[in-house]
Amino acid sequence: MGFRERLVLSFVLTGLMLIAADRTAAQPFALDEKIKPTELVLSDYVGTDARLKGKVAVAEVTQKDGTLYFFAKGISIFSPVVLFVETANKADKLVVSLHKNTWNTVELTGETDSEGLWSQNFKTGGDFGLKVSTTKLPAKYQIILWVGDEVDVDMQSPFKRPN
Amino acid sequence: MRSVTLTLLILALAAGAFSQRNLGNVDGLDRVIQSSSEIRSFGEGERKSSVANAGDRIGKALGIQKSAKGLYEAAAALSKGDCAPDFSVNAQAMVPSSCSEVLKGPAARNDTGSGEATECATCYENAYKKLNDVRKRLAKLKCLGNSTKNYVTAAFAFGDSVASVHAVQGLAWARERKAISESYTKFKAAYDLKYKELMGVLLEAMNDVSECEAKSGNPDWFQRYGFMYVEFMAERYKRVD
Repeated sequence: MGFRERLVLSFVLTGLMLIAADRTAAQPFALDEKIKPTELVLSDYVGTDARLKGKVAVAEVTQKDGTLYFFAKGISIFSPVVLFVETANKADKLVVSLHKNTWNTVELTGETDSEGLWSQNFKTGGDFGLKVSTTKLPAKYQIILWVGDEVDVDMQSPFKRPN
Repeated sequence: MRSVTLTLLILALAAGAFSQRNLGNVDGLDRVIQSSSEIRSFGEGERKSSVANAGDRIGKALGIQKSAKGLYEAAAALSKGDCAPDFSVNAQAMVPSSCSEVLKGPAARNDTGSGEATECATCYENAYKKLNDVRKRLAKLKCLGNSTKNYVTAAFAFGDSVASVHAVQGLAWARERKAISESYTKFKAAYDLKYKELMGVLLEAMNDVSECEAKSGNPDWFQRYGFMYVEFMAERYKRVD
């Protein structure tokens, strides 16, 4: 095996190790075995609006339990994230909360408005959890998660004029 | 080659173990039952109406923003523990450049007035791109390190508090704690490897800059100046614990 192949292999191995190790934090931590979150699987979004380049997950939910748990993973800290929860029946109220490290710590919370909509835009790295609770069952709603392509962040130049 | 195969096997086993432990009831199918509820997931190309509706919603969220960058800059971090990439450069770590186009920044280099880049800017173009690319990758690595550390700290705090109250959950937590601790040890080793790899790329980029400086009559630029920035970056992105 030549040097170049070894180098490529070492890059691949390091990447695999980081992916494997990062699975540790693929969703907020829970000891309760009843909490079995569903992944919002992101796939490429192709549309006419160039601003929307990125990935999207859409889930249509019929909730027959008081609380459901979802999570998304693989989000870049350089990507904008927009999350919507919209009820089929505007009168249905859903309580929505976002979680990062554990399900018992709430990072953000809110409820659907008079139009049956709750939305939030934020940035985060890696993964996050979404908890949806309701007292009126069954509740039908849609979850839309959009993660934009990485943006070109501004960086300070390390170069200066010679003295 | 045998050692490579063994490493791949260990990694595959490790990845499998993590998947089984963490992915819960996600079975890879579009339709998932969580308890008695029903969840149907759609990606691009499936259920066009659902995805088109998603596009409308997201477009409204972007509002008058000309690009997603505006939305990104306006958005707050989800968690207090979320890392904010830091691209500032310490004054002592800044290095002199003899190319005025570089000093004006990337936008200036793309608009030189005459429509043609100067010779020095052309020479710097690839080195500058490589440098900024690896700066971004190092920042992502650092953020991954921070978020993983935050996760482990939070999981330990939560698990320890529950275990002190509930004896049965305490036993389950003891096993889980060990598994988390072991995978975090592996993560730290992986971080160090990736850090070493990316610092190598950074060094290459700075050597490319040094070659451009040599063409402008500044030999030994790296030995005289470039190393200062490399040392600064090495310190900023190394794993601290």
